[in-house]
Amino acid sequence: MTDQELASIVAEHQAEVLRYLWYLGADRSTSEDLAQEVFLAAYRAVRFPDLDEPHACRSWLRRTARNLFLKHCRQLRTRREQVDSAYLEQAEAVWVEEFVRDGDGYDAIEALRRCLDGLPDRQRRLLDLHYGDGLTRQQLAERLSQSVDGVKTALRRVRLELAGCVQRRLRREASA
Amino acid sequence: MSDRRDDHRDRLIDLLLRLELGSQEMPDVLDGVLAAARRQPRRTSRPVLRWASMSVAAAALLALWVGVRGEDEGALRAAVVGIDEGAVRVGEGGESPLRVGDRVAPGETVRTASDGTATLRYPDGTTLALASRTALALEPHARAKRLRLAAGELRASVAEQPAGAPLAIDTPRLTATVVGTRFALSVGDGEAVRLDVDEGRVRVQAASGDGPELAIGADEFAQAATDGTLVKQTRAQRHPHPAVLAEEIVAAVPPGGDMRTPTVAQAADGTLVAAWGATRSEATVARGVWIARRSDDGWSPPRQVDDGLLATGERQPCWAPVLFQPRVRPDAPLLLYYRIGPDPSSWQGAVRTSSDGGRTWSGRRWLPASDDPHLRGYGRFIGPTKNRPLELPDGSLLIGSSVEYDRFDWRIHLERTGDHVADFALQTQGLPPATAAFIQPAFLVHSPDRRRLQMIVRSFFNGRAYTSFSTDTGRTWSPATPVDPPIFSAIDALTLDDGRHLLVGNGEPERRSIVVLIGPDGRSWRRALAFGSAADPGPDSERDYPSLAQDAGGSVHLVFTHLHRQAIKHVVIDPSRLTPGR
Repeated sequence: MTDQELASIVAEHQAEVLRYLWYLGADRSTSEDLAQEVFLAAYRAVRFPDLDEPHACRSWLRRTARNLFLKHCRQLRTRREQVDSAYLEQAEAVWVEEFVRDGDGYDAIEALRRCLDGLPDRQRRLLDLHYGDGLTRQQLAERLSQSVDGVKTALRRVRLELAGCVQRRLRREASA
Repeated sequence: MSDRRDDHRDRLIDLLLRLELGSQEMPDVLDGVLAAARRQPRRTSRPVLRWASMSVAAAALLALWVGVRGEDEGALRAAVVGIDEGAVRVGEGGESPLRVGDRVAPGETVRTASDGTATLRYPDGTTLALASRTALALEPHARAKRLRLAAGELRASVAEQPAGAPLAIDTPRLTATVVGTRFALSVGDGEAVRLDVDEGRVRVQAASGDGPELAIGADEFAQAATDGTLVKQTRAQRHPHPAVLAEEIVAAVPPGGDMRTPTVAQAADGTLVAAWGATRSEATVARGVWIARRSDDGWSPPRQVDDGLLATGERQPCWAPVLFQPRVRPDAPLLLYYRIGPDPSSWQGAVRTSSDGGRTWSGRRWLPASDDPHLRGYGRFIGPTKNRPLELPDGSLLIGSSVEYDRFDWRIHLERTGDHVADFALQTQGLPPATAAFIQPAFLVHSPDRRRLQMIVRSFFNGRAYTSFSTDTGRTWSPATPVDPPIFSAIDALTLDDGRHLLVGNGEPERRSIVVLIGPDGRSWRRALAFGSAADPGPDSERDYPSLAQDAGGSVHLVFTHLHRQAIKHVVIDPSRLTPGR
């Protein structure tokens, strides 16, 4: 791989690699470090997929990102939930089946926007405060006079409802 | 399991909400990556030549270095003695097509195309045959032949090398050192490496330099997994049965590879050709239909005949190839039917033909479209699903085929074709009732006019083989009954030239052994041969997908996958020595 090819791969795929690492559970600075390592591995690889096959490139980059993240977790051993290869394989399956599907995930984001529009006001406000205004769960608990655990549960419930809504929409569109 | 899936969903939506509602900025790692790439020392402590990034200064130095080698230089250059479909040379002058007669010098790399192969020969007679998608660098060295196999597969026949200057091949995971021998070396997914020795002895050591040096002798192989571990294993011992004339490996891949449904046929010019599908390989480049041809020197390196690339730009797995050489019409080409698609519920039937014994192949031709409800999930004819078609006296083919909608909706059908490629008719009536979800029909013949036929099918319900009879060239069939003794999983059937019948399948549902049954009438069967046993420890002893063919000289060829689909084995059987009851 030439430096030029490397640059074009980074430019094209870095957003997805970073998103993917965040999704796997890497924090921001770890994600940046690992994303760099992923592209360096591509640079060194003797068998990187053809550059004109974005699907194969993406899946190669994700696999490498998973492996590096797994190695990172093993070295640190600080995460509470157990990160092993089965866990990461399942994460990959959800990412592929429920998000990127055959494309780049834009359909899922579009579906999420519609689902957000359909949320009851109370739930929507919760999301805006947390994600939009950046209130922590502690701050939310104080603002809404709830326990921190209650806020945590409420957020998770909304997210899973949204996940279900996104999947229903995508399925409807696929069969339409 | 489901809880964790919900965790992933939760994190996915969490991420999307952070991006959608939040003001999280995307960092840019481009500068960091490029800076690190420039600083990066290239792998390995050995002075390895990297063709992609060799600087001009290094190239000039190298040219100087190679230039002053004097007499040794000629001995270390390899002549190109065979090229099929395309290969390139990569050197200081960039990339250029390689032609027969060219010389490849140390410092240059040969790369074969996705459907190409190349053969190089050194002045001392050492021959290197490169499979498709292979990259082999000739590295500079004062006296010895030094090679680097970065990807793909190499078959080598090495003449005796000068004392103190063995031929050495570096791979990402191991280094093989050779004094004089025959072997195959391949680099697969994740740079896993496998070395198979046919003759002589090859010394191997992990590329890291850690661990002991292992000596790999005839009928042994070494594997280096992606975690760097190096293991030595013995290939199966020679079969004791006198009917087994030869046992050999057609192709083998390192751990992680996945070769399925091999098929074998003797082409009209006498060449034995084998094909197989690579479906779930993680490295999508390795997917596709691959073939190898048998010559006096053994099996050729594998060559990719179809890469599964669709007009949409997607690359899909290729499945269940079936090779068949029609005999009734002179000049009928060798047929290669196969399917392309994500899975058996939607794969698309295709065919290629070869008129030169499998050396070159026609373009991919899709089988004709059909709007019959039986083929609703496919929209076109499927072609033979695993087993050979039956050639009828008029030269037309009776094809045993099946649909796999979901696991309880497996059904067989027959396809008939006059011209073998474009003119197809579907038969879904008169077939044995689908009492046990049957697929993959194979045929036996009970009368020279081919009116009296027998069909063997495989059941999804219990994995067993079932059988059914016809007296009207397959228009109507009797109800299916189980074959006894039971055989399992993928099966094949063959009526021999002398009128006896062979049946092959797994001896048990766990797919440890392949058993060959023989019978005089297609009703009573006796076990004649077995490869492996139910007691073999798994999963590496798994044997799958047996397939049969008889050549013009009467020998029977059996191919199946071994070592959990990492090797394809070819067995030559003399049927005259095959007696029931062993």
